[in-house]
Amino acid sequence: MASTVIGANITIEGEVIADEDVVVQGTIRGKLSAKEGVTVESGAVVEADVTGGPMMLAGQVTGNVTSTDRVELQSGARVVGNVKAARITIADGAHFKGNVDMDV
Amino acid sequence: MAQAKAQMRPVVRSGSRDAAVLGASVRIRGKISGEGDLSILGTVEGDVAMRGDLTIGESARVESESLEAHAVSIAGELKGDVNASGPVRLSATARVHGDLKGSEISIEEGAQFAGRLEADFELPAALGKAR
Repeated sequence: MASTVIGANITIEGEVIADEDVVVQGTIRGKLSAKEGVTVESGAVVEADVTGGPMMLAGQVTGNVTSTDRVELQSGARVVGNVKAARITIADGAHFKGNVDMDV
Repeated sequence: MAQAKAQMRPVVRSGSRDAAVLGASVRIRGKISGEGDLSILGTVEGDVAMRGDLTIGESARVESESLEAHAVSIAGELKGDVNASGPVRLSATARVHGDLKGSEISIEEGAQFAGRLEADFELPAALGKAR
């Protein structure tokens, strides 16, 4: 279990920087930088540029996503922004608008 | 006062989607608001407004103009004012610089505190008449 969880009823407006896994169930507006994995759960809203390690996106992300590892857009995810990662999967049922850059 | 230590544990119930934990390595610059409970174990610069309970863990550093929550438990470092609708507890490891307002306030032995206290309590009859 990740040590940082932004719960469903929490809104953060500003910059979040973490050296550990981050699970977002609530709302982040601003910027999210993690050294480890980022999970945006279904129902979460991230209006921010997101950087980090492996990412699982199932919620709504508006912003550029940059991963040092892989990005997984799960069914139900809504991602608007450019995704930069070495490996990307977009599941059936995921919404995505933006550019993909796998040239890392 | 003796029970305060046990209550300092983060108030997060596993599986609860209302709870939020900001881990020790996390730094947040900005505003945090919400309805559930919040545990801060890392660094926060900015205002916090929660409907639920707020726990500031021993490893936490918080700098804030205003902290609003129901019950507030502080074991870490805080610069800023607390406005709680419930009780405010400072445990032995707390270092607080700011004003505290709550329904009741307890400060454990060993806590460092500089600021004003504001709590509703009934004055003894003699003092009450004098006002």
